[in-house]
Amino acid sequence: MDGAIDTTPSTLDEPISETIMRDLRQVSSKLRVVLIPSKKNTISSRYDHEEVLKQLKDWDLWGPLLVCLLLSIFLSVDAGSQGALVFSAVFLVVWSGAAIVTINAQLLGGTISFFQSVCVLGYCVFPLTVVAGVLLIVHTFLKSLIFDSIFVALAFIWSTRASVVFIGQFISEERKVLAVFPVFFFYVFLSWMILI
Amino acid sequence: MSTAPASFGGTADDDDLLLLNDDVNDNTVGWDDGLSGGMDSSAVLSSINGPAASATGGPGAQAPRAQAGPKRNPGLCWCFDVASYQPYFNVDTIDVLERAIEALKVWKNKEDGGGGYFREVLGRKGGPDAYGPFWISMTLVFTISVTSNISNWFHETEAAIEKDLTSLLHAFWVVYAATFGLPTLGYLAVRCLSPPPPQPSDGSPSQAGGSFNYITILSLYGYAALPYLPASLLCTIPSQGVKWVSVLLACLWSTALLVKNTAGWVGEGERGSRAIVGTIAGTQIGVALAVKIAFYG
Repeated sequence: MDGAIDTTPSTLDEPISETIMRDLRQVSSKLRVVLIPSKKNTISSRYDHEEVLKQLKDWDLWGPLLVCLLLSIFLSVDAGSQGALVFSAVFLVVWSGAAIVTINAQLLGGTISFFQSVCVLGYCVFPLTVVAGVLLIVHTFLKSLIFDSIFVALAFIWSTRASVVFIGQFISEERKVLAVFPVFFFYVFLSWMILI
Repeated sequence: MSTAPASFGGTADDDDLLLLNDDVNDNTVGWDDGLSGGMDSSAVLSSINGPAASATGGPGAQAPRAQAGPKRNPGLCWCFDVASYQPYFNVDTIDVLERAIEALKVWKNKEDGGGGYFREVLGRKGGPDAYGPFWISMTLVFTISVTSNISNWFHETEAAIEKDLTSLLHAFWVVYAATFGLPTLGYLAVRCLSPPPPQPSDGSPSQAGGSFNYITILSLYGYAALPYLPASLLCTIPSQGVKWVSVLLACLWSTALLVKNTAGWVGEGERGSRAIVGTIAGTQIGVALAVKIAFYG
């Protein structure tokens, strides 16, 4: 589940809360690694990239699942009578979108690993999930398209920047735009689903 | 740089590295008589694998190949293997942009004055690609859906959201039927309806169909969908006249590209090519009408 080989047999005896907390801590640390832009100067930011990549090699799909579920729940609650349709649509779009973007990168000759890429793309949906939650609360007293658009645009820029940097590492220079465009498109799609 | 290997083959293992006996140092290899010289092979080898590989005298001598990597048996599940589709995505950013721009220049002819200029463009560098068709269609699905919603938002009702999502689905079906379904049908029709190519008398395998292959026609239809992108953006303007004009212009443009590039390609004789031109024009008009009526009311 957490990608590391457990040699100590004692984890079977630990309380469930500890097991859950360990996974939650891993998920949150990955979220932090992927999403917080480095505030350091350009020299050390190269080492940050190495650090990020090293941590992300330890991929897991719990994080993306949590993020995707939260997003689907927020959007379906906000959709009123069409809730079930919206929930399944968002779920489908997130997972198949991540898969398609990854396969596209592989087809273009990228040396990316399938699950690692799906993991990163899933984690990078987190800013959009946060905004969806915020808008859910805001919509109880204010329904303004312009206000929504500003927030969604900010989250979109944040998500895209994080994942484009990651995907770009694995693709040759001549094809980078070809691999990055689907990532961009994927987040535009999700932002659109949040806005409508 | 991460060293995560591609999940589906394509990387050379040590067993498959082209380890060549270093003929300069030990003369026990007998097979180099047939080659133009052991030096050439090791020179080729070192340019592929770096100096270290050719310097290590390996256990056996293997004939040098142009690409590193194992030659795999396709096996039963080849259609699920990413590597088997990679030849269709062998394009750089520049190539895709160039193809997109040339696809819009329907007035250009080949040097000898014939049609088929865009097919010539497709044949350059990596050959026809599937990247363009796939992502142009996806973008078109999204654009049509969004602009359709925007142009309908003047009548905002409770059922608006369901309409938004189902319009995405409808757009998906229409666009993919037009850019993937139609070329598939066309390819099958031509293959089934045209006589089989004559078998050459010297026993060599016949070149089935010459240059008419599926990926080229797929590519052609994919890039021909480009004029619909600006048309759909124009359709957000709330005027029926503008909508009709832009959709019909896009239809004309797209049909022109298709017709110019298929007329000389298949269909022997006057009647054959007229039938093909007619079919293509008819289906494209149908697609344009469907797009206009279903999405832009």
